[in-house]
Parts: sequence; C-alpha cells; structure tokens
Amino acid sequence: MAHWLSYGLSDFLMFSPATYRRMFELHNAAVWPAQIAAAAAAILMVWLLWKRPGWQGRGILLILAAAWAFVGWAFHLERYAAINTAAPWFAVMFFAQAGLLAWAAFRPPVFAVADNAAGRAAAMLLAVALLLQPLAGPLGGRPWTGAEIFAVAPDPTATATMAMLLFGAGRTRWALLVLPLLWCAASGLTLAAMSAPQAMLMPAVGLIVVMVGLLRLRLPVGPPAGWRVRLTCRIPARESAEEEGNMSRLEQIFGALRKQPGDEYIRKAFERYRALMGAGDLDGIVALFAPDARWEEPVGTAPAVGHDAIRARYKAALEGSGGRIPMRADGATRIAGHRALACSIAEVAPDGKPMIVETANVLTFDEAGLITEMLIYVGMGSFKPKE
Amino acid sequence: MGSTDGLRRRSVLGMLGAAGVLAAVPTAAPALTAPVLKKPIPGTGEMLPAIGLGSWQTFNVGNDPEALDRCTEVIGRFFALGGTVIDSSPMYGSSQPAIGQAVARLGKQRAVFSADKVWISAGDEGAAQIEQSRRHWKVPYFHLVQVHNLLSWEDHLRTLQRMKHERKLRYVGITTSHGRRHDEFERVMRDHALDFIQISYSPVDREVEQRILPLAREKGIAVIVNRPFRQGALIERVKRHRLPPWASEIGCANWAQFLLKFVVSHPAVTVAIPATSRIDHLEENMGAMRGVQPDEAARRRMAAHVEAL
Repeated sequence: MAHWLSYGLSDFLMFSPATYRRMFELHNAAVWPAQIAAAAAAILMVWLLWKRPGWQGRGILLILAAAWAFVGWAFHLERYAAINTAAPWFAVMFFAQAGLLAWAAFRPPVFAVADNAAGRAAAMLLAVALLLQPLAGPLGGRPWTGAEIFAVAPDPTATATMAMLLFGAGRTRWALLVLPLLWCAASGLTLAAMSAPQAMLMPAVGLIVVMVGLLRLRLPVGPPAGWRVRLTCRIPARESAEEEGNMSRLEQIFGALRKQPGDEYIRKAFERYRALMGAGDLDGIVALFAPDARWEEPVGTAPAVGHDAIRARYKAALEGSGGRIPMRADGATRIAGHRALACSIAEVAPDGKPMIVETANVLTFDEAGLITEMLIYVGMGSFKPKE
Repeated sequence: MGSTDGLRRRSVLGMLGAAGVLAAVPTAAPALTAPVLKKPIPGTGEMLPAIGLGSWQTFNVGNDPEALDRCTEVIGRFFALGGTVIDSSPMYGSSQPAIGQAVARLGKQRAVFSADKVWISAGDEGAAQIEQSRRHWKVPYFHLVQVHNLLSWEDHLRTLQRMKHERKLRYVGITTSHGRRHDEFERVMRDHALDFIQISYSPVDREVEQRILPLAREKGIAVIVNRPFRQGALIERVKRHRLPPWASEIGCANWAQFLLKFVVSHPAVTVAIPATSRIDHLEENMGAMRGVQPDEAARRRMAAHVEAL
C-alpha cells in the first residue's frame, strides 16, 4: 500500500487531456440525437419541479434513473472504457445509482423549491448542471460539439441529480447522494491529474451538497416558491448573543428567519386541492399532505394518519362518486397564519344519486407548504339533492 | 496551434532534406542523416537504435479515427528516422491496438522491435494475456515480453522462459518505474536469467547508477530506460532555462536531446523510450541518437547542470 501512495496523481492518468476532451466530441456524435431527448427530459424535470402534478416525484426520479443508466451504458461502457480501464467500474456505479433512483420512485418525496438557503443552493446547482456545465467547455475554447450535457455526460448528470435531491421535502436522502458524491471525487481527481482548469468544479459541487444536506438536518425546510416569507429581522446583536449562551451562530442567523405561510400560497393550495378532486388525481391529492398528516372527516370520528391511510379514504370517496368529485369555493378562504378555513360545495354521487355537499375544511400547513392536518366539518344536514 | 507549427516545421525539414542541404545548415542539431547510435543487446549482440518509442498515455486514443491517423503518422516518422523499438503494455488502455493498426498500415510488422509486457495478477493467465496483446499488435511474435512492475513475477517469468524456449518470443525482461522496489528488482536480476530490464533514469533520477546499472553490465542484461523526461514534467522544468552554450559541443540542439543523450550515453543503457504524440517532439527525440555523444566527464557536467536548475 505504501508504495502506491508515493505515486503522483498524474501517474495514474492513462490518456492525454486532448484525448479526454476529444472523447466528448466523439460521444456526442455517436449518441446524436439523444441530446434532444436529454434536453426535453431536463425541461420536463424543471416543469415537474415547478408545477408539482400528482406524478411529480415519480416522474423526476425516473428521469434521473434513466439518465444514469444511459450515461453508464453509452458513455462509460461504450466510450470511456476504450481509454480508461476503470470505466467499467464507473458504469457499475452509474447502473447502481439508476437502480436506487428507480427504487426511490416507488415512494417519491414531494420536490419543492424552498425559499431558504437550501432551496437557493439547490436552484443554483441545477443551473450549474443545466447551463454552466454544458457551456463551460465551449466558452473555454473547446468545440461546441464536445459540450457536456445532462443525461449524456456524467458530470452534469451527477450535479442535476444532487440538486433535485436537495429539492426533495423532508430529510435529505443520503442513500441517493452517496454515489453522485463519489462521482464528484472521481471526476475531480481525473481532471486534477490533467491539471484541467475546471478540476475543482465537481468537488466544489459535492462540498456544497454535503453542506446543504447537513444544514437541512438542523433547519426547517422552507416554504415552496410563491410562499411569501415574512422576515422578522431580529438577528441578535453581540451582547444578546452572549446572553443566549451556547446558541450557535448558525442558529442565531437562521432561527431569526421567522417564516409564515403567505395567504396567497394557502389560497392557491386550496384551489389546487379542489382542482385535483375534480380531476380525480389521487396521487396529486396525497402529495399535498405531509407524510405524517392527520385527516379527520367528519370531525369527531377516528382520523386517518399518514399518506397510506389518507390515500385509502380519498380512494374510497372518489370511487363512490364515479372517480371525480367536482368542487367549487363557497365564500372566501379565511386565513390565520399557517392555518386556514375554506368552505366548498362538492358534487358527490352516493349510491349513484347526484347530490351536493357543503363542507368546511380547517387546514394546518407546515413550513414545507404541506398540509399537516385537515379537519372536515360535515354532517347529515350538509347533503342536499342536486338541482 | 502546436500541431500547425509541427506541420510547418516538418514540411520545411522535409524540403531541406529532399534538397540535400540539411547537413549544410549551420546548426548544432545533429543532421537527421548522420549515423544512428546503435547499442548491442549483451546476450546476443543484436544492435538496437538507442532511441525507441514509449506509449503510455500518448497512444491510448480509443477508436477515434483522426487520432489513430496521427498515431500512425508519428510511428511512420519514427521508423523513417531510424527507430525500431516500440514499447507498450496491456495496462496502457487502447495503446496496443493503436500501435498495431499503425504498424500494419505502415507494413512494418517485421521491422518493429516489439516490446510488450505481461500485467495480470493471476500467474496462470499470463500466456493468454500475451496472446491477446499479440493480436492487438498484429505481429507474428513479440521480440521482448517483460513482467510489468514485477507483478506476479515468479509465475510470469516461468511462462516467459517457456515461451522463449518454444521460440514464441526472443527476449525476457522485467520492469519497474519511478524508482520502485529496487531491492526486489535487484534480487530478481541476480537470481534469474534475464535479457532485459526496464527502469526509470534521468539526470535527476540517478539512483540506478549505484547498483542496478552496474549489475546489468555485470550480468549482461540490456537496459531500457522509461520516463527519461519524467513524463514531460522534467522537460517542462528545464525548458524555462536556456540550453548551456556547451550543449552544442555534445551535439544537443534542444533540451530533449540534452536529457536523452545523458541517458543513452550511459554504458549500461541500451535504449531510451520517450513517448510522444507530436511529430516535432519525436524529431527532437530521434535527433538524440545522432551526432556526438557525451563522454563520462560531459555526463557529470550535464547531471550537475540539470540538478542545479
């Protein structure tokens, strides 16, 4: 082992930098027009992130899985392996990551652009993957035909994947980050051995991901885009910092960011709920709820807790009414901070008989913008024949 | 940019050569028509041109047709300038097939002195690997097969000696680089019948002068020198300085020749194998086996000069 350590990094580089750079030109030419599909996949992924349809999580994770599988096969096995004996191992790594992402798609998280440090870092990394990394080569004087793009070349694929995973609500999914982080190291070492100017990019990306991931363990995930953040700026002065004793500087800064759900977000969230009910989009409805949300209908009966139980209740309700329950607002939504009251008139068809039902929903949102509690006020007197 | 310069320079040299005026150009550069320095393989007396061609990194170009054409061009020029020894290894990615297609296209399968290596942990898989390498090279047999970095050397040496006995190869050797495992290397040299050793040597890596090179002379073993430029790092370092004025007295027109002449003028050294993918660099390198060679006093001066830079 000791004698391995005495080799320099460049002693392990099997190919010249020119051959490495040229490889991307040859790869792009060989897989054309896969780049068009890759660009479409990237756009679809951003759209899913923004619009959050019911199949959002599954869609994003499956796109990422396909990207890793394609790069593993078309790049590592078919191209890179010709000049690097380690490339088949990289292919194994990429196939494993594709498998992990596909597996995660069975229980996808909600992906949301949080308006906090983690959200901004993730957005920045996504921009790096989809814009900076493809442009870096051409702007550095390499031909356009050698551009490294998402789902075709490994570096932007890894960056985009880590960025998307940081958008995932809830705890950071470290299991899905391990191999992309490993790739950051492998890519950084290869480029450093070539003394390439961009050698530090992937290690820097990896470092940001780890930092944000660790930060999220201590930070509440911020509200999604459109959520108006009210800052109560009470960053403590030095004297008070001393008074607060062992509170860390991070906690001082981030603890001072008091977030409250914006009225506009809550109004939209409820409009969205009504639209999803009308469309019978079961996945979409469930995705509005926090994983451990509480759902009580009618108020006073045993609540459903968690995604599975809530899904079962909505499934039964939708099936009882022909798969769709059209709803319209009945008066304005009353909002108090992160809690709200909204009344609706829904069209149901118990026993095939069309009726309307007047309901009042009391909702509580968490800081990720997900519903943690829905209390539905409804009684026998709420049902009326449809006119 | 570099390649255009190389092209221009090559065509100019070509024209001068064709006109027969090259030798008349007043320059310290040894004329490419001067006799080639050849050194004997001690075991057989077979003479080898003292500058060969390595292939680490430079010929590992995958299946890029343009790059393969450039490899062929470099190897063609190498033969044209009197070279024969080309060294590779199964560890060098696609270098073997790149050399093989070039040698075949140039019709040099019989002219090349093919030096390859066996590099596999499993002792019983050595023969199969050598056969695979031979197919990549597209040659009828290897002149020399060396145990790469002493990996599983006991088993592989047995295989190589058997193949030599069966006339499937001509010479047997072992290699190391970067000055590693010299003690074990020396033991193998003492205890086994070897035709060749391959080691790293340059004006700043001179440890082999103490024991390995004298032992090679004593045992009658030919010596191939790898990394004479420390994979380019040494030449990058010295290039920042001007050649000393006395370099012309030992027939050196550039730093490449200065470093290579130091190496091949050691009495124990048979051939040095710098690697390059550039025609202009190749021409500089090949110039080192022409013209005056430094004597022992000059060699000491050269080493001291490079050390001091």
